[in-house]
Amino acid sequence: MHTIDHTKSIIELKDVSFSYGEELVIKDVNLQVHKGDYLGIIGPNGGGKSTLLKLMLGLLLPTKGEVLLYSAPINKFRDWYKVGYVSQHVTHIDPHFPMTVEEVVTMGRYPQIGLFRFPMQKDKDIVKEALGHVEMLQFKDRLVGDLSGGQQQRVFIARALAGQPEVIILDEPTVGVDVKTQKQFYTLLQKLNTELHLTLVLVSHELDIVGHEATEIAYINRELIYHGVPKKFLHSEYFEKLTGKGIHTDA
Amino acid sequence: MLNLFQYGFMIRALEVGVLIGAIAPLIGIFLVLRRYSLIADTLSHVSLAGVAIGLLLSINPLLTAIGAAVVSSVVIERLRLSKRVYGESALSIFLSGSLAVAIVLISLAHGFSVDLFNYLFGSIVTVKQSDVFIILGVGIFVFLAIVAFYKELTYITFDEEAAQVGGIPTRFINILLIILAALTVALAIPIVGILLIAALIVIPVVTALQLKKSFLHTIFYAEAISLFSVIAGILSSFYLNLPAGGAIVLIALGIFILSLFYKRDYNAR
Repeated sequence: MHTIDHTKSIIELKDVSFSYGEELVIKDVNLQVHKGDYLGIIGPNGGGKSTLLKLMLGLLLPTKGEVLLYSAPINKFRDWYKVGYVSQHVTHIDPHFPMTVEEVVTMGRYPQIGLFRFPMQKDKDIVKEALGHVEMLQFKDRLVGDLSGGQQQRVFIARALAGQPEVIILDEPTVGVDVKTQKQFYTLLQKLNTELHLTLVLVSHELDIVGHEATEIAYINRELIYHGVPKKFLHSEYFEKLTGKGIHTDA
Repeated sequence: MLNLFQYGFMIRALEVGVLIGAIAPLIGIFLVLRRYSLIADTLSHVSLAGVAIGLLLSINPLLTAIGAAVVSSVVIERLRLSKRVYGESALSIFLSGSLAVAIVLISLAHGFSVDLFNYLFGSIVTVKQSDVFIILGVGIFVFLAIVAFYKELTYITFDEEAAQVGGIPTRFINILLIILAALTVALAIPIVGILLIAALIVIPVVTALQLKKSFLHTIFYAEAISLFSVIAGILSSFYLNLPAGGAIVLIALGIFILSLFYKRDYNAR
């Protein structure tokens, strides 16, 4: 049995601000993600959710403040294999891209295999295991473009798992899939969090669902408005205000 | 029937042709899937300017073409990254700009000659022994570089953002790809010709894509189509006295048209 040190800080944002040109998108955000957390980042569209996530991944650098990964400043952080990433355009992948499920998931091994080397039997085993976790092993020889949106999503989760990460960061993973698929997807995330002990950070506009799934909620609308357990959030004034205005719906 | 191996130029043409035929689709697969196949066209026109410089200064035009293509490829990539110009517009500027340079330089040199015609459309007799050494040397380097960085090239082509998060040096790989493309284009000039090299880079890959196979299989099919087209093209050039580049591209085009009739049988999978 794993014992998880829930006090261990995995991602830390200190007074982080970010602007696109003149426009301030993120203002003075302080946020910590601890080992074993399942954090849902929610907020209105254009509220800076995805920007916050890109800052955590080092795809954007803060205009002010500091981002730490495993207590190291992000520009000095080298253990990127610990961080799995499932990007938003998963549902928009080129359907004509000639690549089988197995080939896609194998790419998750690439950063660890290193330059001038090729996947070995060990990597193939890890890929199979990852496909098993998301129940997609029987599809391994199918072209990824031939799969449904929900299946593709699982493949991309498997690609992240193949890197054997400690944390997986997901950007709007359920955009464009039906309700049933969505449900299965959240069940899978629960499993990753509780059984595989992965730390999860999930950006979503689906306030009500994430509120019931995640162990922690960060509500961001330029500033970090709420950070804590979902239960309190769901009964808070923010939630009422939001649902009242319907900001979180669709779009 | 003539015994083609009696002729030194045929041996040279086949040696060079097979190597070019092997590396063109390896570069092509990444360019086509990144929607960047126009870069091949642009770099070939830049190479023409390079050839013109070579003719004017009496340096081996292959060397000046390589130089011009590599330098321009780096500038194009920088321009694209700087976002001061749309990627597409950068290609356009270089394509027409280098054509203008080429035309002015050629008329300054010695006007339009048969020599130039060979560079434009490729010829099996253009390939000199000194060219063979350059093409084999640089070509093998290109081949090895693609093999060495195959994983990284594949990853950034499929999902650049995830590759970057994974710690793949995406900037370096991007610039590497474009330089390798420049080298391939320039090397192919003597045999395929400036106006047709882009076709050899693109058509076999697009044909293989019609078959809807795995990534690795797509590469193998593109290789097979490219090598077949190049060898058959060189042979028909020899026996039927056709320009090599034209013959090669027509054969590749024929296979592409056939591939459009290919329908995948879902039940047989």
